[in-house]
Amino acid sequence: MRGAGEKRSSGWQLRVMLLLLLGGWIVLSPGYRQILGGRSLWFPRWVMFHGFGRNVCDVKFFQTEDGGETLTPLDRFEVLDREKKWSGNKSLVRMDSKRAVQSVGLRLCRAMGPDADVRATARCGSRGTWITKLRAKKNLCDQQGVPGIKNRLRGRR
Amino acid sequence: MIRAMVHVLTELPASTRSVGLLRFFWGLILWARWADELLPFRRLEWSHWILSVVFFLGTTGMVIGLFSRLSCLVAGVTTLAMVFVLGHQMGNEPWTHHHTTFLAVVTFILAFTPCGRSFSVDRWLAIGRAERLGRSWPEELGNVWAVRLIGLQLSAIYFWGAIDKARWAYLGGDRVEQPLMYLYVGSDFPGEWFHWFAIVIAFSTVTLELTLTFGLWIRRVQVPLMAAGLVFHAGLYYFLPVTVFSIASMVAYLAYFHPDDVHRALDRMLSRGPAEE
Repeated sequence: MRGAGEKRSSGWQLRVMLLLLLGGWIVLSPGYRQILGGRSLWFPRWVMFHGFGRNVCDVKFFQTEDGGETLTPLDRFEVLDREKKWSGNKSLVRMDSKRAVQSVGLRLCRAMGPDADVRATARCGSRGTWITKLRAKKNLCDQQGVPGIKNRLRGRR
Repeated sequence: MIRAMVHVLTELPASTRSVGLLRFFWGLILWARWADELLPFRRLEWSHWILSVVFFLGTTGMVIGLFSRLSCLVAGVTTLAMVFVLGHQMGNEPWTHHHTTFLAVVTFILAFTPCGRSFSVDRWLAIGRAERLGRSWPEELGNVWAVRLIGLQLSAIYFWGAIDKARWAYLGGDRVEQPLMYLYVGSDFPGEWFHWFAIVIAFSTVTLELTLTFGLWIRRVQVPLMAAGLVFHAGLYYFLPVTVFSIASMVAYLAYFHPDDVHRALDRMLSRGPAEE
């Protein structure tokens, strides 16, 4: 079956045109979007999972008794007496923003009593590298400027 | 020189079995992706019903191989319109994803192959006609030049996907750690080993994608590379929400084989083997 004759079969002009147009579009158009920064949506780009899964933060909670000089790791599940289960305690297992971390911090504050000093380090996902959001410098129990959080804390104390 | 190159690129008289298989599987994959969304009761609007009828006419023709090329053209134009017009221009975001673009482009390309000459009702009818006229059965042969465009499309996906990943955020492991933590781990970083694991995954992925881009065209290394590619896509399917992208890529590997090799492989599988003396 193999072994083409050198003779062109009919419709070769159409095939050449298609090859150039479609082949060129397939091969080069991602370069227009990805390298040259083109915005036309008629040209595809292949940036699979470019932003998928960025709604997660890498978080560590600490308690301190000397104003942050010594940080002792805090197990949020133990303090709140919850199991590490995706099905039941998803918001505890996976925090997706600085606000979510502060909110969990506040729950820890409530559970630990009025004099608690709870801090957290958090870096959250992005389309690029991790972005640091919290550096354990502030006591989460004294949260300012997070709408809704401070009032709730005061009400419970 | 140019003449010879044009000839090589636009003339590939060979078996039509691989494009026949591609047509059949691609029709099924289109159903897996879109059939449920395009059932008439999903949206009680004329525009939706028209889209539904055209989609199912085209894709049914693809699967059973009836008016095969026309069916591929109808399904191809319809799915391209779904991706680029209804998706990108009119804001139906789920239809703009990478796998939908891949599905639509390949469907359109299939219209330029003699994909109805194998594994199709078209062939069944052609055989019937030949028998009535006392002629020999039609050969499963045609100019399958366009099948290379399907390979080119998958290679472009690998290549530009690798280019996108060749940045610090990915190769440094961060953009591997984030989806894995989002899906599996949660907010507790597993440890230093996880960072190194992510870096290894990142470098392996980019290396494999670049190798597949060019290597799949080289006959001598096709089989081992395809094995690696199949494991790669199976892994993606199992661990990440890539939906039909994996199976579509696997099926598209058919486009890299010489069509006559596919023909012979099928002959070998379907034959009874040498008779014992």
